[in-house]
Amino acid sequence: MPKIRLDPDHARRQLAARQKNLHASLANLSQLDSRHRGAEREEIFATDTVRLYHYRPTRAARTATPLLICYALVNRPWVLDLSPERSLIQRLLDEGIPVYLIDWGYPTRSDRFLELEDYLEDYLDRCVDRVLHHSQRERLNLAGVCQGGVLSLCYSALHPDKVSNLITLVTPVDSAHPGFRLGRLTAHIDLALAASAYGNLPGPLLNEIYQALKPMRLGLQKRLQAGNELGGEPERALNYLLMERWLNDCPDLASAALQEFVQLFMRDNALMRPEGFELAGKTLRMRALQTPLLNIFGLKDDLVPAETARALRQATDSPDYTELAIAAGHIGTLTGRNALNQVPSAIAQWLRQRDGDKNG
Amino acid sequence: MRQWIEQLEQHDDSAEQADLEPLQRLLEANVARQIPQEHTELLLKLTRQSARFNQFATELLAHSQRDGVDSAVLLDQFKQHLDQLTRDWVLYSWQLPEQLGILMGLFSAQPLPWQEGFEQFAQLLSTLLSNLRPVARPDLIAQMKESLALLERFEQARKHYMAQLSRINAQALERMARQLEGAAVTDIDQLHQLWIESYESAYQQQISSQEYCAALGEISNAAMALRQGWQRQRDRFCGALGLVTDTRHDELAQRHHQLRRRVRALERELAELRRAVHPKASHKEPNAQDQA
Repeated sequence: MPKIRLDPDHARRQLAARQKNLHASLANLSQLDSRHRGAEREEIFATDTVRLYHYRPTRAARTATPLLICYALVNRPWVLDLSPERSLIQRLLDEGIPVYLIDWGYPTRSDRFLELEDYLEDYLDRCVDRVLHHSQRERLNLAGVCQGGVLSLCYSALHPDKVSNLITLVTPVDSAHPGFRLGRLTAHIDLALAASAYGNLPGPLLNEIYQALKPMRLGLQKRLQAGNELGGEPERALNYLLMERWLNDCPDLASAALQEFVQLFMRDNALMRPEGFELAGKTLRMRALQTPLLNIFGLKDDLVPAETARALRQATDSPDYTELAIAAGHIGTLTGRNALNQVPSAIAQWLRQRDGDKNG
Repeated sequence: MRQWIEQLEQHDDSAEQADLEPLQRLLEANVARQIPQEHTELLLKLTRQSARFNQFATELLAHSQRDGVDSAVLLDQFKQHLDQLTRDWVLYSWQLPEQLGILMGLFSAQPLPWQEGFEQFAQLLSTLLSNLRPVARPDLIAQMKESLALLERFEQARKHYMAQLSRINAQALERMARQLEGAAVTDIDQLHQLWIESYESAYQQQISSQEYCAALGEISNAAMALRQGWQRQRDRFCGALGLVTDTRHDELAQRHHQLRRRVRALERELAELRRAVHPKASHKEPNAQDQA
């Protein structure tokens, strides 16, 4: 076997640099206040664990139609407003877009029987009505993030009269694509048994499954490089801390809704079925969706690979389909510096082009 | 998996003391200044990892300066380390139900390697079942048989899954050996990167296989079935004592859910009627409940 011969001077410099980073990390961790402080907002509706927030644009509204953001049931929506510098919501407000955000909250064991129909036809629909009332508009623009994108697609199919334009961000559409490893990894897990054993699916368990997609990179390597972030400029360190906190802020998932979601959209690949699928007492066909669509996804997304998201073009017959590919991963597409320089302005421009009289 | 990675960082050695000093300082400051616990925990992880990495690099450097590091020796060290991590990870990620874990601990006179401890406990249960069979109530015997069967299924699933992980470890080491033959490594970070890439590529290949996914599914399902079985036992005990069981709680939650749906449907009907009476109103008007 070959011998490994290290360059001693270079190796010592590398070790010294690591040590320096560790000390700088210590200084930052001792001094930084990493509590989350989001943009100013007002709670305008609350029911059960669900909250609806309104954010006012920081400049004169350039888009009359409000934008409602529907986040996933997995993880928490505050990643969209991580810090003033890393905030998709803040950038949208700076573009003159009135923003509303749904926070699904933390389901308790008593919520385990909530089904997708409850999320769509009760919570989401009531939030939509509340936004329309609050903004005094007839229709709104809907933006769905990841699993929230799937919910938004379903909602738009159920209520096309209420949605002017639909934006999907990092949304899984074609779960049969070979790159969609999450679906394959979890294919044999018995979700009915999970519901019976746990009540709701514990959030940390779900986090473990995500980590299992790339254990070394998301674990060991990430932490070895953490010193570069934590030992850097305070702003950089703060964003790292906030992101770590967000990653560990994972609500449990209402088991009935989760079972339905996994069966329909991961195992049956329902969004891609031309004949449609049954949900909330109706047959939903993506092909029938005529709503203008802006599909945003990350080219380096391991969770929802680009091709899985890009399949929306084939799934729908929308005559007005636009896509925006960002050179970033799943979360980077929502909060990364480069993404924030592209995504909010692209959304604003796309919405302005379609913000016509029909939105009344 | 996170625990696995964390275990990789944990290493008790006096050589780490210098690296642990920053942590000690932060812990002292934490007490004095109420620094959030999560900052302390994060620094603990970083310090451990840094200490582990520094120790590894320093030893490597010392060997390298003498007569070079034999890559076979390096790979053997990696293998031992990985095998330990794999065991720790599986133990952490698919734990026994809490009460069962405690019970197992009580039956072990001294700490045993997990495999032996588990087998000893299963053997004890099996013997107990044989001894009680002639005298105990049939329903009690049936419950014990069920528990034993669930334990055996779980253990079988754990062995299969461990075999999958061992295969990944072996493939990762083979890949790294090939890489080391092809490239002259002179840099610590480069060596570490090589290790990460070798492991990830082996891992990605293996998790694409049907057998890996089936093994992962089975260990998850067996662990959940065990938990569910234990809950049934707990329900029986609680029921016998007149306490509310999880099952009863879930039944009440389901009824509450159905009633909530009924209320929502009635509210919708009311809103429709209002719209019929006042045609100018539209869906902009939220339901009565939402206006509160």
